[in-house]
Amino acid sequence: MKPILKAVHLSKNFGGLQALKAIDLEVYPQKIVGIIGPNGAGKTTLFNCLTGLYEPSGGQLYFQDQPIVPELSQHIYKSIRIASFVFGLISFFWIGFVLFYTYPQTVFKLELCLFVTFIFALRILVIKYLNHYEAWAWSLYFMFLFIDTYFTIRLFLVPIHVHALLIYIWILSFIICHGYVLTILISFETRKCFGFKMGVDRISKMGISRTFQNIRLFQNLSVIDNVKIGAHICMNSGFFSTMLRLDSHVQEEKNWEQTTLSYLRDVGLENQAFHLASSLSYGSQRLLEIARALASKPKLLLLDEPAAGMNPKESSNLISLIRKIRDSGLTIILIEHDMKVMMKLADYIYVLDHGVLIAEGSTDAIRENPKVIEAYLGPKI
Amino acid sequence: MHDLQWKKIVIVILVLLLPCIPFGSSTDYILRILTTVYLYMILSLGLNIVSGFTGLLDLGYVGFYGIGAYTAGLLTIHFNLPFGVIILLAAVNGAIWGILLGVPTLRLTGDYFAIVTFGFSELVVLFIRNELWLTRGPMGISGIASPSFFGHSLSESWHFYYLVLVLLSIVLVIIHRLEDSRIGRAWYAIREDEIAAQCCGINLVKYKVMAFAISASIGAVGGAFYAKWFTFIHPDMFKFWESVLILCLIVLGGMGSIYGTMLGALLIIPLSEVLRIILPQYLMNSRYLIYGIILVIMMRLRPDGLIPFQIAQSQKNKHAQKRLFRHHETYP
Amino acid sequence: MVFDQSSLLLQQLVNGITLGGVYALIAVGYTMVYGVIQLINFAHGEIYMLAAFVALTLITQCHIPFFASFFITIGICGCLGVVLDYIAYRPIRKSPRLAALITAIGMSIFLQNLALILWGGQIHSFPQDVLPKIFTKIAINFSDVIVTWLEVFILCVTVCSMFILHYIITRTKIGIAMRAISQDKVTASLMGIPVNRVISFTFFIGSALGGVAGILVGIYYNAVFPTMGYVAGIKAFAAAVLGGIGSVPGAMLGGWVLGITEVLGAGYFSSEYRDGISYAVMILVILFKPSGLIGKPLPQKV
Repeated sequence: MKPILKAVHLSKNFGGLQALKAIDLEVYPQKIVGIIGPNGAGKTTLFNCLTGLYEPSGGQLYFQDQPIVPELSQHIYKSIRIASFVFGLISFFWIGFVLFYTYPQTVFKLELCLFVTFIFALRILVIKYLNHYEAWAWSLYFMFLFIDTYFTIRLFLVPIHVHALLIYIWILSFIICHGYVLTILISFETRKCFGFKMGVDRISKMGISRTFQNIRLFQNLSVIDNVKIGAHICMNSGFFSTMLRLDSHVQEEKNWEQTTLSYLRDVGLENQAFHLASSLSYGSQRLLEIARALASKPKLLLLDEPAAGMNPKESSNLISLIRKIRDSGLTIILIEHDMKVMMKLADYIYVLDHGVLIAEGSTDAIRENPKVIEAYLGPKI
Repeated sequence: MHDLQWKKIVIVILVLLLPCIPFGSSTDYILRILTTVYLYMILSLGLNIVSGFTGLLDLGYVGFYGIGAYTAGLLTIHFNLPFGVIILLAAVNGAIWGILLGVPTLRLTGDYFAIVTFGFSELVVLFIRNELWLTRGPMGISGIASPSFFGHSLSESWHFYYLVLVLLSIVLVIIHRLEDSRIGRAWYAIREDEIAAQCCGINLVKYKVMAFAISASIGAVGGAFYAKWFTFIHPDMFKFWESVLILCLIVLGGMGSIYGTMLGALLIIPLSEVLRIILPQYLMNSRYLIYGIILVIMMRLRPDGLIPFQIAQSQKNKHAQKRLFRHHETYP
Repeated sequence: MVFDQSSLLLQQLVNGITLGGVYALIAVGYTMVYGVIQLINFAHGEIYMLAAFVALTLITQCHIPFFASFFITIGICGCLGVVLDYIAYRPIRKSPRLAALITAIGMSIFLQNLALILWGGQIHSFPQDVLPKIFTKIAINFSDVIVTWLEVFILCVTVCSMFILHYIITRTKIGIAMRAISQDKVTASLMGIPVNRVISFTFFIGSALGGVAGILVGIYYNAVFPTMGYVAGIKAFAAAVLGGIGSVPGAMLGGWVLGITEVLGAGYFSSEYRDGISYAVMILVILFKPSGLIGKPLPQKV
């Protein structure tokens, strides 16, 4: 059987701190995989990498054999950086050449030079900053290149006096702003297409859905609206069909009202469907998060400490709920501190400590593993 | 069931009554005030999309208002296009500038977003003031022809009253539909929690820009109507304080609730008219003092406004529950 | 020819430095308040405007000599800042940041229109005979670059204020308390720092410096009007952002950079867009480098 999720040498650094060090994971479909480890072991960081909230510093993630981390990104990064500085230098000398050899009689020579220097410092700053957003920077260079070439050629052709030169500078700086905006306009979608950035929403569209350790519900909205937002990617009525209230839109809303209610029924919150999310009890809020995550019809569900703050009865309900979800065909990755819950649920367990995978295996194997005991209780005295 | 019917009755009465106001004994003056009220309702509904639904404080809304007004004014003067076309073009132009402003400011939140939008509106005013070749600068544009339909030019106050009522209804219907849909829910999600919203598959870029574009185009429509109604526009009409006034309306009414923002306009605009009468001539502009006090007091005593968003939501939920209950007897 | 141009440039630089010093003074107020309670105090510009009006009233109506009224005004402005904090910002300290921002905007409008009611909308000016005579005399005349004693005075006052401020922040107990609060308010209060009193003191210092700037600008341009605080306030905020908001040296640097940029830009680029230059700088800095010139690397937050 092929694994649904595979991590290969996944690592994540925060400045000097290595939160994850070359993690290798394999998750098989329709299994419940547990991740345990002491506080600060990197469990939630792993989840954040899986859902795209953090971009991994190294390694690769495959979901159903598709890479999650864009592969182009690391590769292009360096060449763009070099290109940016080379381009910055070239355009600087180019303008200098035009200024000093074409218009030697310029009156405002000194100030003009100061101004041009300023503009180019600004440009380089912009480009340098944009390095984090490769496609933006990429398009920006071409824009600058185009503008410079175009205007210098025009200036050679047309008889020019000082006034027009000032206008040229003015237009130049003006177009930089426009160029910037245009570039972003052009590139914010291309960025995703070419895989420059992970895009959290793109990953959730692939079929990974999650809950959060510290509850992140939409507190001021009703329970049912929370679940409907979870179903966002499954619905597809756009601006115009909404505005004109087309039949497809009305039908979709109606269908999804029923579907969301059925999700709420599954977790046992149907009676509170129209209450505000903030009015629910802590345990119910956790259940609502699960319902919201399920509403996007995921293939892989990541649960981050679902049983935290639940009493024994609630957590036994939760266990049967999670089993039911698994039986309906989903794969589940579970972070949990409550070992009873974990041992009852998990088919396979990974143990993390300080960002390193220290053990893996079935529940029984983990229970006996001396390394795990050491990580939790400290070394033997 | 009872309050639902009551509400329906009230709405029906209002709908029947509002168009009848011009037939009563009301004077031109009252009609003018009401027209202003409706105009500001349109504007505050537009601002509400960005500030209320999406939760980004937009201090530069008046920029779009000005863009709309100048689009309408210039198009009328140079090309004398029909009113419908002008409104559409103004809306499109507003949307374009909304997108242009929205895209670079996406990463910003809170204070910085507010400041950047503020800077934008100031730049718009500076541009209008200084680019004489396009806007005639501080002289303003005067003599903008009134809109005409089927050869009849609108001139009486009640003509404009109906015109703005129609515009308001259209805007209201659009916003109502958007609010209770996938798009509106995505906006709410962004306001409540951006990270959770992303994890639910909401494309932040797309929905923020969409909110910006729709809000800006509504502002521009308001501006276009204003230009056609007032027949004179001037850069000083679109200064920052106008933004603050609109902000004041939605803060008073309740950010994020549609009826709240309309209530805000209904309360404050006549108030400022009253002040205009009471205050002596040289203190006319100082009526903004009141708006300042309202902002401060509202933030201190009732930061969610007169009709808070949560209450509007729970009302809506009650209705939804009843609707479902009617259809499905099995529901508890 | 070249000579003329460079002297023009120098003259503009002198103007820019004078103006920049004033911006720096106002920007310090913004940045200190932001550092301590993370609030953009929109009403700060209005305090600057009120300072000019108060000084004008003291001099022309009460006939208090210039230097005496200078110091009285500074005191009044400081107290005004404290009062502002007390009535407007303290009650909502725990609410969301947007609420505080809206309150600040409300206060700004309120104060501006209050001034409009009290003093009227027309442009007031200081009568020449009440100012010290020496201000209009030329201090330095170096190859057509003219520096008046007023400019020297402004520069001196600015630099002195900066040094005093620097001393307060780095050497005194209350300065250390301010820095502690800017790091973590709760922990600071647990350490026995009277948080509210220190915040009031921050407002006092910031507003007093704003007041200094208000008087200086009032006599420099010899024009006092109710909307002067609005534009200057925004420019100073731009300066604070440019330097890195929350950092005091950043605000000083930002003020001067912005002042010089603005004067040079107005001179050589377009004087109509003089205000636009600061707005544009502000927007660009926020978009591309929100931490400012020396925001993060030098975290001397106050």
